[in-house]
Amino acid sequence: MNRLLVLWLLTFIEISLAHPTSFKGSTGLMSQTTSKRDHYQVNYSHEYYLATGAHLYQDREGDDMRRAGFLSSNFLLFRENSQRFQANLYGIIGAGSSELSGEKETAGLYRIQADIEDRKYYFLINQTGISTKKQRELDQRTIRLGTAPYVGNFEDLHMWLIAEWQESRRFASKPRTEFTPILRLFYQNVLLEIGRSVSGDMKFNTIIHF
Amino acid sequence: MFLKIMAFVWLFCLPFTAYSRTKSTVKVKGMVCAFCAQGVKKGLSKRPEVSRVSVDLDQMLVHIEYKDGKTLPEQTVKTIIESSGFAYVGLNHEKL
Repeated sequence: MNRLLVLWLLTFIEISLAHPTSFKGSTGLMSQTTSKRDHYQVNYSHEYYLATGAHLYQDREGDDMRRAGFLSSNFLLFRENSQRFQANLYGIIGAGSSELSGEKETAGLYRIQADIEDRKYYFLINQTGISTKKQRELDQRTIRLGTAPYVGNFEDLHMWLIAEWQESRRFASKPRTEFTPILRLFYQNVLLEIGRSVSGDMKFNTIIHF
Repeated sequence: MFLKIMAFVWLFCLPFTAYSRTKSTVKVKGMVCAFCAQGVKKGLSKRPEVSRVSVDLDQMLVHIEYKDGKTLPEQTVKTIIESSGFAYVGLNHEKL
């Protein structure tokens, strides 16, 4: 029964690929939606290098709605601010629970993320894991490469074209690989992403920070 | 007579001193993304001394225009830049 609970939890884990921390005092609202699962996240940055996150996951199977929640601490472990680029290393650690018919399973979350970007190119890689008390239940690796078709000014509408490769291994199952081209648009403090994986799954992501 | 001349000169110069405003140009490193740099503009814009903030991502500059007779200490500008997650390089003041 516990294994089924965790498998259910794992089927819809979509960890936000937004910046885990932002400018001091900021609040970030993030959502990721696919055809069968949603992930909502709120981050508050106490400092530009430290944030607290709250996560809600929802999985839809017909009329059945299943949920899990996490609280996380998000850290900026390293940053290089250069004249031409910015490079970052983040770490996230969290704890939470999943519920099904009143039963609860405690789960832990970790993520390591590195990214580098300049005005025109962007590269991101991250490793995510979810564990219960007994064993690790999810290994997920994501790589993103992006480019800006035009370089806009600060007040412009910005566009990025991103290629995302993701490999997920859930419990003892075979790893699953997904490739998704994504269109990113952002204007001031609002960001939208829309993509369709090669297997046909739509992805829609939003971030607002203020 | 002398007093009348001085009064005339003072009244003539008064409009220019009353509307004297300053501007700062701040050099920053790491500011490559407009979405992430919103924190810089927000942090500076909410200061009562500031009338306008503009960001130049190509040159990595932040331009701050102040209200009449106002300015911000360099340390305050540095703190705002660094709390947004960027590296502060330096600042120039000039009169508009």
